[in-house]
Amino acid sequence: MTRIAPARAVFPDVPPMPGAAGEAENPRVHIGANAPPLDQQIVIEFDAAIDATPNLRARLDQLVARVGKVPACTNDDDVGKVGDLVRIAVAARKAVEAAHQKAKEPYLAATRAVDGARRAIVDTLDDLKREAEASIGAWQAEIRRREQEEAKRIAAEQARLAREAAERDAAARAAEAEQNADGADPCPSDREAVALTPPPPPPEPVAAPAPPPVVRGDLGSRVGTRKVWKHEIVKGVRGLPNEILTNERVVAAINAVIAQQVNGGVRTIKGVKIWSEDVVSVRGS
Amino acid sequence: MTRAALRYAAPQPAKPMSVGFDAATPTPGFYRYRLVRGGHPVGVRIFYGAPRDPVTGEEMDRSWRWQATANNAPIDLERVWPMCGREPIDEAEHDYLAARQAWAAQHAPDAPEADPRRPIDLLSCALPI
Repeated sequence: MTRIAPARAVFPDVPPMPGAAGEAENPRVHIGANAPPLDQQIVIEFDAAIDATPNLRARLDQLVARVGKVPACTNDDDVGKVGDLVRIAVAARKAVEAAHQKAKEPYLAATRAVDGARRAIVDTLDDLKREAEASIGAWQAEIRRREQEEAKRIAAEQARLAREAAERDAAARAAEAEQNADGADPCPSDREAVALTPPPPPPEPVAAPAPPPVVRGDLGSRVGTRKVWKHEIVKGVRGLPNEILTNERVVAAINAVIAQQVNGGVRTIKGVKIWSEDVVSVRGS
Repeated sequence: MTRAALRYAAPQPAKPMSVGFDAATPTPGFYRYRLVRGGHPVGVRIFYGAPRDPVTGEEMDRSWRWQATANNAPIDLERVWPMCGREPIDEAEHDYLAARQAWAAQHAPDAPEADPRRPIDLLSCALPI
């Protein structure tokens, strides 16, 4: 960027130029600052490319004047002339596309360059994000492993306590039976049995599922987990429900596959009607 | 190593050719042909006869041979045959193409038919309608 050098203070009574020492620098005072915006510049270059193609501008004017005035064909000579008109229109269109490509190419190259620069930065950031998420995921997996081990330990402890209680009850019942065998009535009345049976314990309340723990960082990050549902087709496409098989996007994909096969020469497909139509085709020599 | 008793390559009668033409032998007649890709078509005449003097056009006392003309102008036979053989036309169409070039060469030298050896510039030729 070339800037205009500030004027020397030859005349002390003259106020300094904008951009001189002590003055705010004018960002518009440099070579190229008066160029039009890019969205206008590219249109100007496109028009220049059309004008640079010999005869193209005049040919476009002629063709535009023919729009809506194509005569009805009544014999083969008319068909030949109209076909030539189509060829000329196609040639003009190709020339316009070439001019468009010529005008657009520098901007596309610039876009690709800035995309490459962006990708170099963004990929690095993505790698960092992926590495950090892997670290968090490893820690969360470790937490889940510890929780499962604790649950197993608690279950084993409860089983051990229950087994010891059962053994104590069995020993007490054996002692009681031995004592009763010494002279007591071995079969207490039903009223006494009902009185000895403890009432059933009330059902334990079902605890609501605890929300997943969230770790908050000092800078505002909230680290937690979220459930992601995934799928896999296990019984083939034929086993899928009709609302999926008749989905618009599925039908479009099937049509694309069928069209590819029909164009490739397949003429018989189960459940598909295949026929031919004559369409207008104008080709060059 | 034994040989099969059956001769798989036994000579068979040749199948009659229903389409195409014999490219080795010129077929006299009139044809439409483009001397260059994208050029205006010309009327080609293939005939067997005595050659003509290239300057005066008089028939010379020479041996007969296969010859060709493009829009009534002499041209090497190998330049047009057998490529032109796939598009035969009648004599009237041949004369029309020749007359069209003769007219354009005199009255519309920029028209595509004035110079069949030049590809048609679709951006500068006159619109057909």
